[in-house]
Amino acid sequence: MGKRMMNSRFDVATGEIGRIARTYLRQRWLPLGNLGGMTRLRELFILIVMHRCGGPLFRLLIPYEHRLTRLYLRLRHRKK
Amino acid sequence: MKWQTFYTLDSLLRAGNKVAEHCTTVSFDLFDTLLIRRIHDPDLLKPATARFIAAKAAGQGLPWTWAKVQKRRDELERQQRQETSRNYEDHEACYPVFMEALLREIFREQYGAALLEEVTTYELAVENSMLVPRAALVAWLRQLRAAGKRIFVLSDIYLPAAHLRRLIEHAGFLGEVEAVYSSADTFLAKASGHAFPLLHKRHDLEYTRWLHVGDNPHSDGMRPSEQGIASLVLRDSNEKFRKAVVKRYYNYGMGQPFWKGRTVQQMALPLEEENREQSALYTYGYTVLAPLLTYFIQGVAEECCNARIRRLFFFSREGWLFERLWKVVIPQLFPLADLPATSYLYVSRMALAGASCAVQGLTRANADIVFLPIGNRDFRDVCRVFSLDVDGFGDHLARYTLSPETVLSGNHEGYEPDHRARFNEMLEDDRFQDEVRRQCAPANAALQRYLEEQGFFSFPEVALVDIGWLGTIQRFLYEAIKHRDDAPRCTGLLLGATRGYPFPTGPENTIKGILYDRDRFDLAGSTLLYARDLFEEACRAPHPTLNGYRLSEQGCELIFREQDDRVGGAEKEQDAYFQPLQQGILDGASRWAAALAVLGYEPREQRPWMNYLMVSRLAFPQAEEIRTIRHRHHLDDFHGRHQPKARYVKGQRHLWDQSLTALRWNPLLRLRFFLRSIKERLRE
Repeated sequence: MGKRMMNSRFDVATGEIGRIARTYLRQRWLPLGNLGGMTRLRELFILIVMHRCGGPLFRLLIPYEHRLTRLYLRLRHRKK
Repeated sequence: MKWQTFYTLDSLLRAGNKVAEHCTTVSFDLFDTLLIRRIHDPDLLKPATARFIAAKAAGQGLPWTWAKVQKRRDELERQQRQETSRNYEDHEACYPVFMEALLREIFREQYGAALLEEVTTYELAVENSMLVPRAALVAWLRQLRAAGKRIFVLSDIYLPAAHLRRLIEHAGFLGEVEAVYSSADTFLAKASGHAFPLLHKRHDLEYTRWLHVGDNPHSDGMRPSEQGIASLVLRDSNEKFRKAVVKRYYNYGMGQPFWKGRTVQQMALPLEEENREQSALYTYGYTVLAPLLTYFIQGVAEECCNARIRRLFFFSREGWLFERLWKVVIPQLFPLADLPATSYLYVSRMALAGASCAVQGLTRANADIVFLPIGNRDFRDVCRVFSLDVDGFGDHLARYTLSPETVLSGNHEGYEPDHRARFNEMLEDDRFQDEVRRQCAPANAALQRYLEEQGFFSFPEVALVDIGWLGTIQRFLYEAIKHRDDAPRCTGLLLGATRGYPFPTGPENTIKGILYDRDRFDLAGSTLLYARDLFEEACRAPHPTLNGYRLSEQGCELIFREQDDRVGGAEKEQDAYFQPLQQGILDGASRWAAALAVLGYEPREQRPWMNYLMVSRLAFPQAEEIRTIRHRHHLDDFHGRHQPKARYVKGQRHLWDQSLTALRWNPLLRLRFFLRSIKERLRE
């Protein structure tokens, strides 16, 4: 009949993150109007990686969630 | 006994089935086990209630901002937790207690018991809008119940069991649950382990034949296993992934307004059983048109609030969907606002055009409107549009050496400027205008009667909601009624105001475009002009267009277009084809509004996302999208059927009129049309 509206990567089935990326590239050289500054490349890159690779990554890392969270907090505390 | 941890739902269910064979009792944690939330952080639901309370306080002249309400709520909850910690191991709070304390502090003498219930109902409604039953677990729960197991729900939360039962009832499985326990009632929580002996005592349960399922390794794993209860802890990697995605969009939205819209979209997407296979049309309606139209409806409501307008009419036929959207969206976004009463008004350009001439006659401005569509050519088209009998004008035409077939439009062969000059002279002739008024008087009388029956003249100001684009319907309507002393001030709120033809704006008659208005330079919003027909077809009512009004003994009779001809049949086919699109719009709008109510984003914060949707879907659409969405049949009785000169026809072709081959294989096609669009906007 059709597709599920949200795919297994938790993106819209029509591929919203890819569309956002293409619009981002367009608006770098073409005036598209007020997109609220749109996004930064770093944020876009992280989201693309997250949608594409997040599933396997979370499956791999979830057993170590608490340890990784403690490590992250320790590193953040050290950075401050 | 050590508890077992599972990282996928399937593995938990497999193990659970084996363990449950030997158990008579199965208890479940509620949140993040049986029910999941669309949003990553449950605390983000509280500001919605704070805004509700602040709005109520503002209505009674009490100066409480929502941030102040939220802060005080958190303080009172913390205080209660400190108090209960003196007597109980668990630092629990109870919602009705601290919420009543908060409301009494804010409303003082104006506090009543009904207020607490009203706030509670609102908060639970917000919770319900964000909660989704975890399909596989609920199905397992039902199987266990059917197999004769005793099912309990245990939760460590500030909501008492009575409130949790309302949430479970909304989720649809309350009938399968024997009892619901909340730490808010007894201050005995799973976290300390005291909740399990409480159940054991009250229901005479055996620890050794008891299975508990939850998501928290401490409360749902370690504590029940200390009592000898078999425990299964679900740490679902997929669910963690989903929440991480929402969290990231939300956090990015704090810095970049663009991501706010994406956050709302993510929260509005269907989950679990809601996420069924849908057609491309449904998905397009849900993800693209629903946010745009919800934004429009929200804008209409804000305009009415700001102008204190008490009455709102949705113009047919696009207003049919607008009215349905209003009923779905507004209770969620404006639960307390004093908004206008609404109704649907059967109008059309064809029905109103004639009525507009009954008092003022046929003005030059209105006659010029007839020749805006390039298919209209001569005086017969003028008579068709204004419902005039061409035979009654024979003498008048002859006086100015015109005939009904004299070409009056420069788009057609045989046109000479002198034709139009003589036609304009004829418009200045009082005898001609008397004939026009005479012929149009019955239509105007019938329209007046219809409007009186609808209560149109009962308010000093009315809001008129239409799709756009020139505001012709409102123009004709206002001209038909402006001679009346009780004619209201007409405030037109359009989806898009293209202003391609001067609108007679005055203190008593104005229009404003919400999604696009040419008077505000808006490059992204102007992409609405790429596919106006799409919006018309998407929003159109499934009833035929109105041709006119007729007075009868019973009052005013509406005359609809017959649908048994080729055009009518084509329109019915189009309506049936777009039915999934309209359903997608309504379903999407409901979820979009629920997400907006939680996040509290104002229209200006959503605008970048709306602009992105318009630019990406209308100016740079995929070929497949156009193939699916492009209308098959578009009826417009205003347009004539004469064939204009070829060069004018070519200028009417836009991106959405191009062939699929060109759309698929011409890499610069969209860019070319977009640059043309920029040029046109700059020229305006």
